[in-house]
Amino acid sequence: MAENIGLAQMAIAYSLILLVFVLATANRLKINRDLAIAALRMTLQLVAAGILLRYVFRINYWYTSLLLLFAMLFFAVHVVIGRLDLKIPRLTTILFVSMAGGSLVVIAVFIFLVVGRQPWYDAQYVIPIGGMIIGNSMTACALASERFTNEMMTRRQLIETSLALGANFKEASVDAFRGAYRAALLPTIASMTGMGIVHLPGMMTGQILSGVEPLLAVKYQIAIILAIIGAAALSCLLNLYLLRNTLFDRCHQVMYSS
Amino acid sequence: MSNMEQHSVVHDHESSVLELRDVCLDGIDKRVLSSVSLRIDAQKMFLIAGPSGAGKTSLLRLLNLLTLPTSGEVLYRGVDACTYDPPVLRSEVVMLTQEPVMFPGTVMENLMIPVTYASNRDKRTDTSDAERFLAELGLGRELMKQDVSRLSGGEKQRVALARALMVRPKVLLADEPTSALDPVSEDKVISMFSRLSDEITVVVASHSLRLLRMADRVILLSNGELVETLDTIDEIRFREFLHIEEKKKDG
Repeated sequence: MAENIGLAQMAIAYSLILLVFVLATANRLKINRDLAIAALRMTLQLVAAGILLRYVFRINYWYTSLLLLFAMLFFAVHVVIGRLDLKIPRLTTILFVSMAGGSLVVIAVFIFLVVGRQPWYDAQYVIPIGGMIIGNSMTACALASERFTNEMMTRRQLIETSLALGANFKEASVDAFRGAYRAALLPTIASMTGMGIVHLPGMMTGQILSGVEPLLAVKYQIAIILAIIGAAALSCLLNLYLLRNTLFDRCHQVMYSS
Repeated sequence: MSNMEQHSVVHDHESSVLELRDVCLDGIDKRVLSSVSLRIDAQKMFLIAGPSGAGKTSLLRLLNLLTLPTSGEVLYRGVDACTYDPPVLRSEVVMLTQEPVMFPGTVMENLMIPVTYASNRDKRTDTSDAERFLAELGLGRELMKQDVSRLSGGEKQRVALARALMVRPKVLLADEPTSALDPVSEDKVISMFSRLSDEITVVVASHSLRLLRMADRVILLSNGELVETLDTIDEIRFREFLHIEEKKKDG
């Protein structure tokens, strides 16, 4: 088990952020307000999450685990909608279906087949693993949606030219589709490449700190990274299929305009 | 239905390829076309003329289903055009835009891309057709491997025409196909249209008198309304119309 951190030690940790305040003020960086809000939010959100997790771990019902997974999904959709400034019909549904579809399938594979945890709904496993997978499929979907709609706009003339020559909507938007898919998966691929050299991933660090044998922690980390890329790819593909079908109407015309 | 009526219906389909019935089209803040009715007969050449903003491009886009009418009907071979699978219709009724849009890549790649579309796969056009079309338009073989970014405006316009022909259209809709051309390449394009007008249906938006002389019918558009259809080509009336319209615009 990890060493306990007492209140005094916690206060020392917080003093590190005081140092940032002092440095920012001395250099007139004007980030104190943002920094204070961020620190406060971080503290409150994490404490709330901790309390909630403790409660959920203790009762450990199958439906509390599922409920939390769905809550995370809704929150993820909300975050993406807020971040994207797009007026696309049914965007909320599209995002929810693609994120839920991509991540739930992978979470199920991970819990049932890779870890084989009994019972399957054990919150101690489902929630953190689900969180990581949903978080990554959220980022991938946000990138894919943004890039695809952007490409559809900038390539509008090319797309219409293809259509005017007899292309169907899939043929006309194939470059936009590929570009968006690539862009959405690139960050995950890049972080996979640097892993172990550039940085030690958070989950592995956490496991090692809490006393897990490093090679076991590595095996978990490898499995989770594979799950993350799988979920990101699946969600992003679903997302692009649904977006493409929404952005073209029944006459295979581009519907979206800024 | 009596036999005679049936016959007349069939005949009707054969003679008019495309038809607009009381078509209105609303733009973002104004009416672009108001109650336009028009029949385009097979194997004929139609010229659409009118000042800029008269609705020529919109009319062509409607015929290619790139725009849907706000009200009224567009018919292809006597049937509501929207009942066709759009790619199939567009592989028969091909639109050539005024601004030639090139796909990134070489000239040859541009010509071969439309052939890869599912709706064009049975057209059996290949690189030898591409070479032939380019040659006919005065573009040499050395151009084939050239990147399109290095083409002049006139060359692009001709490559776009050759690319449209790769699809072997039954109807070619062309928006100002000679607008960016020097006199020599204009000759090539004009004689291409002269050949095409004998083989397929051509609808061309243009003010070119040389294209006018080839046309079987002229449609005069002004302010989104069909002003007149000239059956016999009346150059004097044509010039007069354009002159009055220009004056209206200036005034």
